[in-house]
Amino acid sequence: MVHERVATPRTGLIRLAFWLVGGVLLASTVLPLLGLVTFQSPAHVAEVGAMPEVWSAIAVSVAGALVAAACAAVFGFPLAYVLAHSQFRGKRVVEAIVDLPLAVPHTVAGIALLFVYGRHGILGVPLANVFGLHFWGTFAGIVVAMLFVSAPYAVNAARIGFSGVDPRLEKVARTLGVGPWAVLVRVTLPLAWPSLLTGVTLTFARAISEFGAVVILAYYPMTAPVRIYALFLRFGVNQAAAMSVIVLAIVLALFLIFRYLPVWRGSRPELLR
Amino acid sequence: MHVKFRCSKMAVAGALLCGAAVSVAQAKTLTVFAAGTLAVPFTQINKAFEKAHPDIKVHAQFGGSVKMARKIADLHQSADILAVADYSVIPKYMFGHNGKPRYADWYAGIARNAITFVYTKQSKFASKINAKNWYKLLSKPGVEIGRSDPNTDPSGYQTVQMLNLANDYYNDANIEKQVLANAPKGNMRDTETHLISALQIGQIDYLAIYRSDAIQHHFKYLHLPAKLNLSDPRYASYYGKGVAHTSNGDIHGKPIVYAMTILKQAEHPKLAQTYTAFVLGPKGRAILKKNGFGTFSKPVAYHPDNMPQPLQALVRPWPGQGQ
Repeated sequence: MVHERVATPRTGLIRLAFWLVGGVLLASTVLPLLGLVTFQSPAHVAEVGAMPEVWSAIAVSVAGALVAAACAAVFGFPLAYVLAHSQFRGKRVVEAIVDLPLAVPHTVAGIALLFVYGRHGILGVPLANVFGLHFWGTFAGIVVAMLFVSAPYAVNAARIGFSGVDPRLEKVARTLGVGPWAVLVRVTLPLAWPSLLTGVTLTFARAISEFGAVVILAYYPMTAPVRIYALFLRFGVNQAAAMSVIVLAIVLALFLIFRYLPVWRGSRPELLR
Repeated sequence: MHVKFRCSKMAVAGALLCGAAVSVAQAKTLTVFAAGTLAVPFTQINKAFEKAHPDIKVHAQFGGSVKMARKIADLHQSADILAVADYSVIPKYMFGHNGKPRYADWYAGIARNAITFVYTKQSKFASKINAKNWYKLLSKPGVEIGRSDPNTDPSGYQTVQMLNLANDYYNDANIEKQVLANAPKGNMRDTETHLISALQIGQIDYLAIYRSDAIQHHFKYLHLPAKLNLSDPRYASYYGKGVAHTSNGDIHGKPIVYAMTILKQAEHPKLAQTYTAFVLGPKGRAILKKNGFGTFSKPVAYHPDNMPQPLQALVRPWPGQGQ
């Protein structure tokens, strides 16, 4: 199903040029990380790897980011669908609100969240009374902070994905007598699938790296970035960098799993085959 | 030809940038690394200093004392001056123990501080609490107390030391345990100033913090007895009885004395000397005092013999020459 483009000599030259230019960016990403990894002596990595608190922090981060990414999908994708498929007054305003967390300094985001979810907050009080949910120094607080800073990635990626679905395909399916929900599930979602997964991956990535907003709500339980910072304060750069290497390796492994997972490949909807 | 033209344009731009960089380097810039609690007074000191020395720019960076020391010792960032919230940070990280490079060999005590609790009008028991009953009220269930992490931050272990001393001072072995029960890990941050917003929002009722911060932020605060608040070098041996158990081992109480030094690797040792004289002198001391710090009638120095000659007259030896 995948179209293999044949490289003519001309486009081959363009590609080569683009590879060279793009390689600069790739190198500027890889080199610092490579520097971090090679800077480490295996002894430091082993020393840090033997600390149970390092692994518990990584577990908290991975779990928190997964929950945040799931929440972003559940609440963000419907919003993205509406934004992609309908015109309404104030749409620009809604889109701007979606992007806003990207521009808010993260400590400010943390303080704002504390206002709402804290001991006297408008959501904090009822959630504590009804569900016993507390957000101060808890896993729930970590998730809320991660969600706030990372949700825009889920909504934006999904919106682009939904916009890319040709409305004529959906109309054709409808004229064939398929119900609106079935069209959504069997045509729209499969076509938008790669974008949705990109959104989830970006959200996860942004969530797992968050420090500023998280640390306002929860220093303990420690997430990986907070633990790295605490290691830096207690022992110095070697131990902090060693844990960073471990975290990088895990995140890289997770990314590769995401990318090669069979569900990743957006299949063309069976209706259109 | 086109490409060449662009290249030459870029070269010109590059040359201009380099030229700008050189001219910036020629303006004398003094780099000061200082403890986060010193941010307000040192910003004022720097302004006053720049006014008195228009040819010098002071570039200050503030952060946790250990972090700033590590930036020099571990990350090899260059600075002329280091000023820390706990004088023992300088010998520990800068004196070159265990074959590490030596960054300093003296320090001057510039200011004193005290541990206290700040609170707001909406804090529990805000109308009742005072310097006599504080430990009873802070022990009551439901009071939320914030503090910094004793494993990473001096004010974190100083708070624990103070509470440990309170057990002895008030002759009640449960004070430390009960107050800390209201300050669980969830109420902890890497540094207490990160909890100020939580106090103002009402997430916590009390926050263990330095008196200087209490005064600078105009908070209500407890006037704890001098024998507890770690402010008075005369009680040094009594403070030593207060112990905090941390992941770095047991830490005994010490008077809270801020210290500064000129780094051996300073790019501008002469300017650094002028700056240090300014801080140690009457103007520097007045600014520190205005911001809630205790000052010395004559600053004390550890190994004044290693100080630059002109500075030696400004100080007296550290009492007991102790670390």
